[in-house]
Amino acid sequence: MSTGLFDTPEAPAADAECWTLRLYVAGQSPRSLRAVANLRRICAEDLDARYRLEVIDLYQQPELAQCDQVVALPALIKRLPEPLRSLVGDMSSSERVLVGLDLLRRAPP
Amino acid sequence: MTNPPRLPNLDLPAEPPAGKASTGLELKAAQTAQALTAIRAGEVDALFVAGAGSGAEAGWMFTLDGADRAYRLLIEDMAEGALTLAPDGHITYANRRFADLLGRPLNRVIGAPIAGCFAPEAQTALDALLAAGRACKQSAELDLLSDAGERVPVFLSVSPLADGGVPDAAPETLGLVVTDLTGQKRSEAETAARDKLLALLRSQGLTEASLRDSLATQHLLEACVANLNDIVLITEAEPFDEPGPRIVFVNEAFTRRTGYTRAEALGRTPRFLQGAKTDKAELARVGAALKRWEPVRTEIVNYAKDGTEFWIEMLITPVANAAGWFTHWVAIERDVGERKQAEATRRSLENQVREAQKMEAIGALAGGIAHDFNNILGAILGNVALAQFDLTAGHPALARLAQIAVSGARARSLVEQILTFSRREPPTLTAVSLVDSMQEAAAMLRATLPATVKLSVAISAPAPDEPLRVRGDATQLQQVLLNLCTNAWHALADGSGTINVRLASLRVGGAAAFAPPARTHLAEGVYAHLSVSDSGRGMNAATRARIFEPFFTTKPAGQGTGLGLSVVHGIVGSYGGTITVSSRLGAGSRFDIYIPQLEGGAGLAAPETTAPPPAPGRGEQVLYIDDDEVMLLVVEHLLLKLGYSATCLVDPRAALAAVQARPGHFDLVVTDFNMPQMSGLDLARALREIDARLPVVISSGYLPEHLRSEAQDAGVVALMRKEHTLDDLAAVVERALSARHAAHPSAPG
Repeated sequence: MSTGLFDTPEAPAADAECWTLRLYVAGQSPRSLRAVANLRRICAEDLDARYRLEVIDLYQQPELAQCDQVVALPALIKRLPEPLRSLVGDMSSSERVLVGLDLLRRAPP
Repeated sequence: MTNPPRLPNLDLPAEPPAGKASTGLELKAAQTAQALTAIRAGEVDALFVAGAGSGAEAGWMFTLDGADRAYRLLIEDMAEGALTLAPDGHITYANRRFADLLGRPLNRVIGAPIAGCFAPEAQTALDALLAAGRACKQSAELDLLSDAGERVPVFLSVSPLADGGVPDAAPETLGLVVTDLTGQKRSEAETAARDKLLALLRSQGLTEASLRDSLATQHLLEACVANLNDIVLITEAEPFDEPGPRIVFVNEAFTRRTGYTRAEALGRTPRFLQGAKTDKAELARVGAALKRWEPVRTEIVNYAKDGTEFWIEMLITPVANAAGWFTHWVAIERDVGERKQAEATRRSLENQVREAQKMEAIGALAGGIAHDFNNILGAILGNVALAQFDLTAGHPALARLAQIAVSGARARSLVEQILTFSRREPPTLTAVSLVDSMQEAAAMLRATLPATVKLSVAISAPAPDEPLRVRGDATQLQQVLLNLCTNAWHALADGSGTINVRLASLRVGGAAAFAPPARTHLAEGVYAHLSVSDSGRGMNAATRARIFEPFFTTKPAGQGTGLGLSVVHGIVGSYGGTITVSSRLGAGSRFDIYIPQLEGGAGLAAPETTAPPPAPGRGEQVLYIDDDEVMLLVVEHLLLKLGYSATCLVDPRAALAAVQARPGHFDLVVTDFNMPQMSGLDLARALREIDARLPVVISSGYLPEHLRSEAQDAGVVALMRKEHTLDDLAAVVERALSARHAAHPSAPG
């Protein structure tokens, strides 16, 4: 599958980059489960193992939410590379996730 | 999918402005916008409001509708009954499993009092458990009372929900988990029965340990037998006579190998596995041993259910009971098909090696004899020629001498055939007239074949006197016809019938009027087409497929080498030809051979001239060395007649001395190859040391490939076949001398 991931001039250099991602979920709620599955798929297909993904269940670790200002779950935060980006939802659209995290240039309208 | 309900009074962009957020405030605004968009799109399960504290104060989670579905699924599907209980003892939630335990529809469980679900005698314990469970988790074994009136033993666990981290649960709500103990109780009952049995055994003098050991051993043995690759088959001890002992046990290997199920085998006699190819004498031997109650080992053919036969190696042992009576036979059987196959292959390979060694020995012997014969024939033919020289024309003895010469030439050709057959010498391919050689071979065949075989030969040359030339070796070509006809003869039933030999020219492609039989792929061109057909037994497809294999023979051991057709195949192939066979059982066989035909006179060897040109020599000094004194005499006469000066010596060492003594005296050396004191090749090398310009010709009965190359390396100018000395000497000497004149015009002579 071709995503045009590295076609854009904004795309980070292919070698040195490593994405640090954090997914906040609410226990085993259906959208949380979907978000975990979708994000794992997107990472495997488009980030080619150059990523670090943490999944945080706020039921169990509510104190971890404060630094990321999370309000709605599930939510994805890209901490690195800068700048910080966030995305809310079940991550079912690969394109939205990639655009939202600066990994893909938004398609022209 | 239906659209999520729209939130009123919010006018947000469809997508949050990702990639714009830079300040904290803008980020917060963007995240809020994102959250609202996601809620509107139905992608959010929960909202989290961060608190200022830590632990439980770190924040609050608000789940949206349907978000706890996963937990609910877990509870619905779990193997335990699960329910929640209001403080007044009514069931507020129950899963399907709990309803099933009660044997009651779920909709009559929720809302019902919990007390009615338990047996009357369990009520006191239940009340105590529920009371204590409001404070902390409690559990006990109780009996449920099903709607059918049956008691169901359960393990009941009670815990307070409000303190268990479920913030929105009403205080004093209890969670109950009910585990069915029926299976466990049953196994307890079994254990009790077993204990009783053990007590009984103990009273009989058996210990539990010994019984356990024996049970364990039996279990191990059963596992072994089940997992063996060898077939295990147990029969009753008798009867020996029909119908034979009944099978009482077979293992998995038996069912795997034979294809019979256990049910199909039990109760029958093992004899149902035997068939046509099972050795009856061997079975009789086995039967006799069994009647003496002796163990016996055998290898026999058995048949699987689908009819395939397989070889087994079988050990049959009688088994006695404690009283010493033989009660059963145990047969351990191993499939030895692969080993049998390997043995057959090995035997066949050994045969091939033996045949090859035999052929090699015959070849060596024939080659050696041929060499001696060549020398003898050389002397005979040489002396005949000399005698002819000596006699004046019209002398009555000339006719006799001519007869001797013809017979000698025939003997010489025979020797050549033997040499070729023993493959001591590579054949030289020349333009050969197939018409002539086939006619000669046919004449030989007529003399060989018995009168009961009718040999019909039809040679149709495209034009009168057209010899149908191919590039090949006359002896080999005759060998082809001889082998094919011999084969045809042996294929004739009772040795009588007809063999047809046809030779014709065949043009393939272009405006061809003829076409080769189907499935023969011939390139465009003109071919000599030789066919040999017989009215014999014919071949089946399996034989037809293998006939050109070396050592493949249908004849009894010792009667055929299996080489005839493979030699034919090899010869035809080396000429760029093609051979095809068509045959059916009972309908005879037909071999077709296509060899590229030489057109016109191209490549045709000049006819041999037996008459030497009149005295080409001008007194040149020729040194001839041969350990055969008769040859020496013959050649000396011949050289003198040709006008040369001849010095003939028996010993090559004397020849070396003569050359050394008179440098530049000799113009040419002709030497025999095979001499006891020194080989012709060594002599040539030694002469080269003395005088590199002195040409040397070697004459030999054999001209194998290695001799040709070694002679070339030693500077030998020509090789001559010894038996052709009389025919070739004049031309060889003349050529060698004129080459020397050309290379060294100043040389004397």
